[in-house]
Amino acid sequence: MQRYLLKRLAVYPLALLVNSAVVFLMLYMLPGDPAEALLGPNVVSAEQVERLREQLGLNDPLHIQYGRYIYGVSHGDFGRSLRSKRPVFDELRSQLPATLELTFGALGLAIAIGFPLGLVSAFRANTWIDSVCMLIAVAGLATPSFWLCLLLILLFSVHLGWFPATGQGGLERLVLPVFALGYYAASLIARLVRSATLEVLRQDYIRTARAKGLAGSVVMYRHVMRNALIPVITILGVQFGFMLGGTVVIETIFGRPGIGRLMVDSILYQDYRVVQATILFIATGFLTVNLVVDITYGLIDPRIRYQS
Amino acid sequence: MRGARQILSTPSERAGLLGQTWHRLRLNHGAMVGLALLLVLLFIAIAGPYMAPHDPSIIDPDAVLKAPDRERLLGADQFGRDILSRVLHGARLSLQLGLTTVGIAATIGTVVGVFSGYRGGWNDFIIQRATDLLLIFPSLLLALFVVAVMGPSMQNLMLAIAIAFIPVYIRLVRGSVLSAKENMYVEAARATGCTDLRIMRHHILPNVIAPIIVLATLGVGEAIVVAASLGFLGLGAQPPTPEWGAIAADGRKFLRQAWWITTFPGLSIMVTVLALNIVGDALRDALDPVIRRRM
Repeated sequence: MQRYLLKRLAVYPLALLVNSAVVFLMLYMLPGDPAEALLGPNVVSAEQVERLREQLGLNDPLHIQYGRYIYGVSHGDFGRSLRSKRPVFDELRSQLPATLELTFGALGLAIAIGFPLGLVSAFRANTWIDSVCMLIAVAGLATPSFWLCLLLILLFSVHLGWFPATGQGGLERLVLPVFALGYYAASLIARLVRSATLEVLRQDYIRTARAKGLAGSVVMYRHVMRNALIPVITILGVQFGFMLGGTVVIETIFGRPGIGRLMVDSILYQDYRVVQATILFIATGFLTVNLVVDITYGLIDPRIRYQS
Repeated sequence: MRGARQILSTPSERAGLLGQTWHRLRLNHGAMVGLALLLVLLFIAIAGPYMAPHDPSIIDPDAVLKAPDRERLLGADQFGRDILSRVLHGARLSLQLGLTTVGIAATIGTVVGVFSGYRGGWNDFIIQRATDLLLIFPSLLLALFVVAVMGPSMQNLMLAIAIAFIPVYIRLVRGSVLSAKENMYVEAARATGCTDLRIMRHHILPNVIAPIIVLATLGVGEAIVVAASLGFLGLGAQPPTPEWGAIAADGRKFLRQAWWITTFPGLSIMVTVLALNIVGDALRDALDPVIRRRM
């Protein structure tokens, strides 16, 4: 276990480094000149553009530019945004709380809805209750999130007037975006919990537990639920990354600040420093969460023994 | 020996993989509904443009934001374009896009995956680490990123989604190949002097087809959703293309006055993806005993 952890921890920064190099290279190949984009319609002469290119270090060879970038990043310097002229780090930090609020809210909601839905479905397998639960889940997997957002706004903001349609701050502005982001993951979890629970219920040790006279609730909590939790935890790691991606759509529609919207805006503006930083941020978040998931995995499921 | 086999085997068993799968699929009512729905959608994708009552991009000042009525069954958008006609044209576009992207991704993914798994060693290591790198990103983000580099257009969108989907197929195929190549008959084939290419094509590939079919069925739905999401963000199909996501985006500003612009294209996506998911799930269940027995 220890060796496995050490190995994972060693690979972690390496993965980030390779990832940053690929992102750097891809953005380097972008059509369009950031110097020209920065000057915008104020371009006066080719010399002016050239001077700015020199100033930004855009004329240096690629590996020098990358080296400078990595040196900067390791010192917390991600460069400056071309658009707002502010340091990219500050830009990210100011957008982060809104995205975390949304993502964790959605993750919480997904578990709160998905887990009970899956359990009920499994315990009432092949009844109408099961069918209704799974219909909710199947619909969730097929509904495009941007459409769900618009339907929610249409129903709860336009017609009922319960929640404001746009903006950030306060619980009432969080409810709709969280639901829109969390419904997909909730459906996924519900289906997963259902099949995992059905699998557990067929096991011999459940029959043994019942046969030796354990109360139904003890069997349920100690044997069934604990084992059904394992696949859910794996999927949570992946879903977290998925949600960070999903925030792109949701933040744009609900007019919320956040990392995803920052990324889309920066792509449209060719603000490549910010794009780089957002991608690096999402990759870091994803790798970190999956590392934590792998470790938690070993703690919950004693059958898993990591070998190197 | 031969006689005993014939007595023991059931009719469905003699029919081979395809027959067995179909036999199991037919017992699943949900799957049959999904399959029927898919056939209807396929028909609409082919015949839709001829069934459309209006030209999807013709602007009619008299019909601006017109609510659904007998003449325009699903209403009209802010330019007076007929929503039903646009949605019908969009069906072909979306299905085409889904099938093309998944086709490209599955083909490249299978070739690379078989190579990676069969060869092993350094080739395998490098391909798998590259796959790891791409798998970090959700497909929507990866496609978004590729579109950002290449510029928004329908063609780039397809390429972007295909690229975003490739790593999943590589991973899946490689896994199946690793277990398939341990089979005795692979060793036998090698002993009789088959070339690597022949072994890969005739002995390994048939083993990995079943999971690919399942993933591809689900993948078409995902591709449609990703394409629509990017179209919605303005990074996919460009106006006036009647792509479902782009139509829904048109209606975003008129949500208060004209709910129908957004509702119907979104509903079309949902029904399509739902049908694909149901059939994909059922296919997995139907193919599963085969997959499990092989492993």
